[in-house]
Amino acid sequence: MNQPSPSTDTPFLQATGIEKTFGRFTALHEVSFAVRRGEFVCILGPSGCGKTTVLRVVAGLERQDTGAVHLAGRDVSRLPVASRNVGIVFQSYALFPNLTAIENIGYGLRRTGNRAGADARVQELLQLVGLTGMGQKYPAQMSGGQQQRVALARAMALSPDLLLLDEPLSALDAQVRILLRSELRQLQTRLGVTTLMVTHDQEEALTMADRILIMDRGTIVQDGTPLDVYNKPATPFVASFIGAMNFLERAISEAPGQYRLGPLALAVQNGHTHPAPGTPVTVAIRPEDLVLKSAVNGDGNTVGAEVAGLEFRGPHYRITIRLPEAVNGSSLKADVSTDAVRRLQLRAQMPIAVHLPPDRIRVYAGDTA
Amino acid sequence: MTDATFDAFALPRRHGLAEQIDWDRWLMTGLLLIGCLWMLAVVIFPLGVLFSKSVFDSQGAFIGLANFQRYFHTPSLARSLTNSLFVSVVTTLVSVPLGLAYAYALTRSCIPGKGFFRGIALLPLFAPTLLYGIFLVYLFGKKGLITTGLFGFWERTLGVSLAVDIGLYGPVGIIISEILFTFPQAMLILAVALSLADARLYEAAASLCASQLRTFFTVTLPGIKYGLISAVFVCFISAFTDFGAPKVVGGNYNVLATDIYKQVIGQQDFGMGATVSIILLVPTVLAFLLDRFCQRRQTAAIAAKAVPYRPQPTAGRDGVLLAFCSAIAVGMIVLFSTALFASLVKVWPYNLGMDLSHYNFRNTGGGGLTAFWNSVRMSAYTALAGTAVTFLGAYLIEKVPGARGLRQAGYFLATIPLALPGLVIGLSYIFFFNAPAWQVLGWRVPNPFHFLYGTMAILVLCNIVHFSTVSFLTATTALKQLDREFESVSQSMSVPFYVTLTRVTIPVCLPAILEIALYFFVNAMATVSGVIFLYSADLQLASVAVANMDDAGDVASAAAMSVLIVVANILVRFGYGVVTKGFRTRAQAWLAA
Repeated sequence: MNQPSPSTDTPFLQATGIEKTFGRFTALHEVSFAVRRGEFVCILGPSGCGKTTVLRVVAGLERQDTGAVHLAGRDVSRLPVASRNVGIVFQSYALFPNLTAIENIGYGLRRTGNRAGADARVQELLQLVGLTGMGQKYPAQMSGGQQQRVALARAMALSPDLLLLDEPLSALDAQVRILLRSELRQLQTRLGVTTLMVTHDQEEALTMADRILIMDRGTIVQDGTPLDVYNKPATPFVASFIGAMNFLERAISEAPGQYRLGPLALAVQNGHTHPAPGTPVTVAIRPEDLVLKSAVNGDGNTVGAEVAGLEFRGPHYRITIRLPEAVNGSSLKADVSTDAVRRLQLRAQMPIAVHLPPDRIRVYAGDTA
Repeated sequence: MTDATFDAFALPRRHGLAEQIDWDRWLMTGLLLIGCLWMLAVVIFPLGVLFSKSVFDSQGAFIGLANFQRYFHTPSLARSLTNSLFVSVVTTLVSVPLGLAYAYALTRSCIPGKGFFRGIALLPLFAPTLLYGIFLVYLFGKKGLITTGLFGFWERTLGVSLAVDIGLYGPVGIIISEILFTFPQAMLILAVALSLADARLYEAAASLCASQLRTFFTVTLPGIKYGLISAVFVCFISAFTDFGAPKVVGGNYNVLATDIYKQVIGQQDFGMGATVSIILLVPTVLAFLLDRFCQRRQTAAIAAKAVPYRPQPTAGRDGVLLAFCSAIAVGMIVLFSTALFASLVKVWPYNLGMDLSHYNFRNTGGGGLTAFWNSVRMSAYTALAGTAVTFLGAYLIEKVPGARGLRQAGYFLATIPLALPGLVIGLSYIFFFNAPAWQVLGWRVPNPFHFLYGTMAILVLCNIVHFSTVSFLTATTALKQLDREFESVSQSMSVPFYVTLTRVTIPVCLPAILEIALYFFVNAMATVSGVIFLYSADLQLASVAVANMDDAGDVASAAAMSVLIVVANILVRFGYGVVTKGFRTRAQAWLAA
């Protein structure tokens, strides 16, 4: 490997204050982020959040209204895509149907004028993506996964500074997708190419990315490592978009780290900034962080409730728990191992105690609505 | 994946090549701009001149709407507007149901011989509309086979004359001809509409125990609503503006199209010719705008994941439809055989011996075989240039990055010719190209296109414009089926647009391109209305020769020339079939999914 490893100095790709409107629709608002050399960054968000627009602005396929894009030390804000030295893999792959795999991969290399060098390069790329011997096939004769590799090889053919992936795995079957996830990530690490990938699949982002940018309605709402965004979701939106989350609304801040929900006093120890006493907040906790017990026994952060339903999910059960009216009468979802369900002999309508570990609770201002 | 050593810097970087693409974009935008200017020059300006001619007298003095007043106050002239409307409405009312039934049989039944029936139904499109008049004359005219009871054959053999005079000359003959002319067009449109069906809707209807009739009215008809609307407008416009058939069988029954011809050629009254053209244009443009308005409301009625409908054999329905299609096919064969027979008979009806004497065209006007070869050349040029221009135009309108306004303008300009009857284009071209110079606000502006007048080029140009919209829409449909990101991918690799155009876009669109070329050729061969004002004495054309020979009473020679036109078109259609098949064989590897 002759590429430098990810470094923490000046960003390799930097987008600053990007704004983009289509007619009266604001697609991007104040979008700024940085990607270090060699880093694998995912832009994650629901459809229509503007993530593909970000990719297209970085690529130079769309021109931002305001804001700047810097890539590899150059201001590329006003450069066309051809001058930015980026490789792109589209959701549809956009492989030329009338050209073989070799012709597709070598499509941009023909222009370099070095025919022998180009041929050698194509063979090298074919080998790299594990398609040696498949070069004479047309896209229609290849499986989805093979097509995806051809598209990747084609995008890498001109040694781009930046690899842009637009939902590259979404057209594949679930099993192939999981296989290619790790292959793609290994390849990216090996080549050391800085990569920006757009996806709406949270699992894909969590497993592949060094860092995730989460977008909602044209803005970046959180920028962090997969662990960060999962464990410390910055907003209720992020919390519910990645993984599942229980929200308990209408809790009141009593003292730093102390909240009250009717009769239930909750201690929270997660290093968050404390709202002023009396502020209404929403308390949130993930289903897998809830601990079920047979009785309250005077423990802190624990409340008596009732099992409303059990849903078998293979490795675990999803339990629906109804909180007493005095707390706020809402339901909680808890993920409980099959073993624990057996141990507690859980069944519908039975009373149960729920413990909310202080270090797993998130607190958000106001109501989630 | 393998452990190849990967040398990312083995090849030169491409910043040197990169500046090209910005230039690329300018080149594309520039080409599109030129395309729009071209459409202005060959469509809008000539129409403008035509309008101005209708409000100026022959001395060039402004007379306002005097021509229009004169038109509506002359009963013999004003009558032809209602005549035209009557003929086209009746034609539409007959053609659309016929076309619907026929298309239904081809797409939704299990009758045998679908390819044969389809080909037979399209036969009229290969002939000038004059020919319909001609074979009707041979069947139903004063000395026609039917009118005379097979020259008295039935009388002699069966003792009953069976002679029927349908009163061909006038509305009857025109309407039959226009039905022949519009039926294949309605059939084509409706066959496309009917072939896009979601089988699941029919399964749902069947599971709810809906009768076949109820299913037809609640699923089938709503599904082809937009096709029906289009078919109605296309039939109306075609019948309303056709010149050939009324010319031959119209008799004293005047319609707008023949009026224009009489005013211009007979009376040399160009002002009135222009006026009638405008009157012809108004309902046509209205129909065109209505159709566009309706089609705009069409959203993707068929979901992307629709399950294609496969017809199941149903004895009763298939039997009825087979009988219906066979009747139409037999009718077509009788009509076209009559033309062939008439062109071979020595002296109709006195000497029914057959030879090829009518095919030497020695004793008739119209240009004879030279005219035929001129037509072939003209059609070939039209096919080549027309395909190149419309495909490139559609490509630019589809693919130029940004330039939204320009692309919309281009699209609008490209669809206008659909609303323009051939006669109107032809007449406006006389006015536009014949003028050596124009007076614009007191300035004398020489006409840069004047040199085209009387040349092959103006004929080709007129045909390209006349038939461009359908070709343009075919090209647009084909281009829309390509991945929108082909261009983005190419740009990201610094490959200029024209490389991707020639290496990928054109090869993949080749079937559509061949179809466009065929369409141009066949229509250029058959058209009369577009070129009848534009041919010159030393550049005669086959279809015009048909009109002139028929005028001069050489109906047999006119039939012979028509047969040549049909044969040429069938041969070209056959050649198209061979090339397309060859392409499919060669491209099997990448067409097969």
